[in-house]
Amino acid sequence: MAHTYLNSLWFMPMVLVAAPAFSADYLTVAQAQALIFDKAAVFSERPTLLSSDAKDQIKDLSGVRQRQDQQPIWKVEKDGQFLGWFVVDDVVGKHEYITYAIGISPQGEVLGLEVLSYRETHGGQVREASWRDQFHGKTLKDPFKLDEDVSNISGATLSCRNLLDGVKRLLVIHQLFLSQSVA
Amino acid sequence: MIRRAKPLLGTLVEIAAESVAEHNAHPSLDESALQAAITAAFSRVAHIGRLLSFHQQDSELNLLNRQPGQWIALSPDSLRVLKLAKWFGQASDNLFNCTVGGEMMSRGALPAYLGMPLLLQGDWRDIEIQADKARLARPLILTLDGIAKGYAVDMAVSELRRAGVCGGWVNAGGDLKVFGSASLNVLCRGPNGLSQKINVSNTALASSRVSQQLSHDYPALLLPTGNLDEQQCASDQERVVSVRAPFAWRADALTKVAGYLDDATAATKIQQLGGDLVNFAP
Repeated sequence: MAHTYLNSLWFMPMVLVAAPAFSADYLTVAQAQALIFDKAAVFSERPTLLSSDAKDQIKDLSGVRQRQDQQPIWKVEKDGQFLGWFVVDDVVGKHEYITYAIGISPQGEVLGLEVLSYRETHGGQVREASWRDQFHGKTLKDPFKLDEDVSNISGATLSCRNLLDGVKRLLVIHQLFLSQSVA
Repeated sequence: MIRRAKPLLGTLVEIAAESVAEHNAHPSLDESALQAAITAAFSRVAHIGRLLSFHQQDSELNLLNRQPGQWIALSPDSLRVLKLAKWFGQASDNLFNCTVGGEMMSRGALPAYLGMPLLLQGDWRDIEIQADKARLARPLILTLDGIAKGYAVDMAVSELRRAGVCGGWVNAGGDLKVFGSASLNVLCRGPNGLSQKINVSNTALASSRVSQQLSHDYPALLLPTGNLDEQQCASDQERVVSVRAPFAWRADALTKVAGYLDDATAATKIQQLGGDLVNFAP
């Protein structure tokens, strides 16, 4: 009897905790816009659809592959004066996308960079008891906020390298497709 | 609580600031004031990065590296970090050594755009400092990896404090400082893959993955330096060392010292040098 009972354990479904090891939403698009540009500036959306030719061109000039076809871009003006562009983009961090935004001046200089969201779902910690213990006794009333329960960024070298590559790619997009459009 | 992140110092720097209403000692700040404080802290970090980065070719650090023997006028931040590095090299019997840039270059851990140096490494005596200038006594390459990032974290915190922020943290990769009303749970993964959670408040915590072998995964390279009798670690051992200290620059520098010692010796040595070895053993 005991033997069969033990055997049945092998068929018990395993429950895996699949929660992100670190994730943070830092800013909304509007907050990032206000931080990079003047609060009184007006943002008009100019989403840009990139053809495969355009994507090849971007790859050639920046050395980085343009993954998405649709690039969210805003034209920024204040009192009728052209201030520059605001672009939202995703790059892969270590395993997951980092969403960030940059402002580009009419001359093609980066006016500022803000990270909007950072998420890493991959983390060896999820399999460890010490990490899973953090969920013990939790109810829906608990904050479930990553800062209060779970780990932090430690060393994000890859994320940074990819962010910098991403910015370069956006500047190439500016040079190819945006700089002429307001001449 | 407002949090932002920017890619600076070769890593992703996160700054958080909060304003607690019932905190009577500090005037509470509104959201735009908190944002302004964080912006100021970021620009302080960026400024220190520009001055002291090895990878920025025109940094003040590289001005020194390019002209050994010449007195170079430096900004107050650079002088402070050099003084700290020199003093700490002396205090730790050269276990903390920021003059190993040449050796790092020759092993390919640092780009060699300055040209190959004549000497692979020296010690703290090779850094000479006067009122507002410094010079290298011998043709060495300084790299402030082990201390400048921690210093930048400290300066970002003081920038936040100056703006009246009553609590928050600055997290630059392996260097973290939590201050005031804030506290943060940090999970540290040990070399065996297991991790442990600790709560950090009003202190700085630095972690370094240290190795004496060069590989892309292990950025902190320990080189045979200084007091060879005191080094007890097997040269091919890769470990994570974490140190708690009142200031991030000190915690940062102490991880390099701890990297050379076995755990028992490290604990006492780190204590003598004003830190606290954090034991993450499960």
